[in-house]
Amino acid sequence: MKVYTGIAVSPGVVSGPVLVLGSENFRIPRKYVNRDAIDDELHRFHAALEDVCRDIKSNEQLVSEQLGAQYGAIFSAHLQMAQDPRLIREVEALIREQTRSPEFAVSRVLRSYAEQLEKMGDRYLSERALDIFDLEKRLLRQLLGESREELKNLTEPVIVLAHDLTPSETATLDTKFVLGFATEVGGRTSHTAILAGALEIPAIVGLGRCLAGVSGGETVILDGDNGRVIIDPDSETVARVQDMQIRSEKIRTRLGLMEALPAETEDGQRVTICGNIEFPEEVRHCIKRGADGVGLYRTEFLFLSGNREPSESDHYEAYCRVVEACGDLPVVIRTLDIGADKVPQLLESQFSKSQNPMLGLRSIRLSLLNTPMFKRQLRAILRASVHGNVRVMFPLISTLLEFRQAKMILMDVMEDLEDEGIPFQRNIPIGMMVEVPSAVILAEEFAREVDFFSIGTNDLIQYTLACDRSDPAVANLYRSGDPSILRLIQMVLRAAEKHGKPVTVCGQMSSEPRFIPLLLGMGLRSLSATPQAIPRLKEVVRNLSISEAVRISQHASSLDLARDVEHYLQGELSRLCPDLVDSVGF
Amino acid sequence: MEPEGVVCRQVRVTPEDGLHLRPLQLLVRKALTFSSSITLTFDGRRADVKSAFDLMLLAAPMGALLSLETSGSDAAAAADAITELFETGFSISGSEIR
Repeated sequence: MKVYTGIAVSPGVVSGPVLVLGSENFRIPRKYVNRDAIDDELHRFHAALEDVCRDIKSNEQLVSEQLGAQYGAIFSAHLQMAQDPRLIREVEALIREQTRSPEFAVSRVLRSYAEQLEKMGDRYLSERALDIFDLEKRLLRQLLGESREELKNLTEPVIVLAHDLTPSETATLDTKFVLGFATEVGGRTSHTAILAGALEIPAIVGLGRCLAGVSGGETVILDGDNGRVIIDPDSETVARVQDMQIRSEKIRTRLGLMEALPAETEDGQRVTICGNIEFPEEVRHCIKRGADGVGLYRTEFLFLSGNREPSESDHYEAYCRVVEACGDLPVVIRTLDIGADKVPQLLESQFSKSQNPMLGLRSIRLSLLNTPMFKRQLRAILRASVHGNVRVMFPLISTLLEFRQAKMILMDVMEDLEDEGIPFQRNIPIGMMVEVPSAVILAEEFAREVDFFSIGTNDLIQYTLACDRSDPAVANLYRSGDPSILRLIQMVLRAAEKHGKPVTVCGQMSSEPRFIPLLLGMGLRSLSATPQAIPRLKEVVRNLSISEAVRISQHASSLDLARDVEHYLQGELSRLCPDLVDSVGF
Repeated sequence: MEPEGVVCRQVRVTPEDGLHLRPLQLLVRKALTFSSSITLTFDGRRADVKSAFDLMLLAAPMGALLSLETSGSDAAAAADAITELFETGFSISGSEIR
């Protein structure tokens, strides 16, 4: 039994056979073979080995002739590995003595070598693990023939364990078969993590290196409540997890009751809780949980799926689906906010190839530079605005000039529509994301010009603390509870209050129950969170009074370390909603 | 007196990166030309010199002192050949690698 811990990004506990995705997505279809078939399976292994050796030899010859003997020698080392007596002995033993399939045995033995090498902490040796994976790949390709399966061809339930999943891979996971997934890389707010919440399957990111220790088909437990992946669990663990599943099911049922209740504090203060969505389909997750609207509709997926830039009608159709599903409830559509971490092919040429893409050409900066593309999106938003309660929001605004430019382009588009006689909502509210420290510092000035603010805590934290949230080496700096962040939020709330402009917090912070008393205490009355989190947030709100929230926020604001703030808030949450803390397993 | 057909010696790892891929490959290649069993022991771990994986997982760093043991009909010749590889620092020209 092995346990790996990562960052829990989508709750729930599942168990099942693992599908390991390295750089190539091989899937080991079966772990065991029939005892009668052992001789055949051994034969199959040796035949595959022979084919692999032949391939390596021809590679060696080709490379030596073309590039020189020293490069060919790399392959003679591979050949030695493929013919290694230890490898052959151990694989044979697994097949013969434990009736393992050749695929499983090869993967298991080679990965155990790779894991041992990686553990030695020697850079040179750990790089050898790559050679071992290469050999594994060759052998599996021979053994599986054309039956190499990818995520798309699943026929039975699996838990996906991958080095990384791209957002589009995540988005297209077949949730009929994919019970949950975990990745070695990624942070709490990576796109993949956000999508996991949307798919409503348990997910963990940032496990660190662990693929070397797992073979396809092994049983794993994915505990999305506590961020743990348990490989080959013992029976005691299996029993405990089943227990947990029952308990978390109970809590889910209880939270289900929250869906129909309003988010109202004990002393009668109504709080607006909207949902963040990425795909039009997700709007039903919001409605089902009694959300007060869509507080953040990310439109990037339109740009990320497909190989061409979305047309105006692509935009329009997607927006209409969301807007119509929401009826009178507000829908805040955010214009393109593509970051360096989600570069789609079609825009690649326009991205600065700088060392610091997070500080480069992205988001509103990209839109302002590519006016035709920006206008297409704005036209679609305006056209959709007649079907419901639509608001438009510009991301990553760092200067007043940017906001004014964006607004001016919106006005241009309005004029065009007017000339063409196309109906739209003329007084559509125009807001901005507050996610760059400069926008906080000038919040008073911005408050005069915007119709609303939405604080995007993810980027705000990243830019304020100068840390890349997806880099595990500095991820510890990325904390919502950092006193600097609390103060920035307070600044925005004050400026907005002074000018009578509404504020929403829509980052990951507002999906975490422990921050809710703090935010309400500071004066926030509107949140937008992942739809899944809404029932929990309602439960917190309903167990809280504003006077208590004020007390909590005052104490939290007097603390000077992120750790202390978060610890204090955690304590207050377990006092207010003890069951909730248990259920989300903080 | 060593028993007939068994030779024990000590060899020191000289390459800077320890027993990395190239020396490892030369060792296996050389070992395979003998019928005797050939092992290297380091830090309580014993590796079959005919197995690249065994040698890799031996993880012998530069400067490590290894116990070489050969046993079989050509034990002496095998011990000489392996010792020579270590003593010459695996300095074999590229053409000979082929």
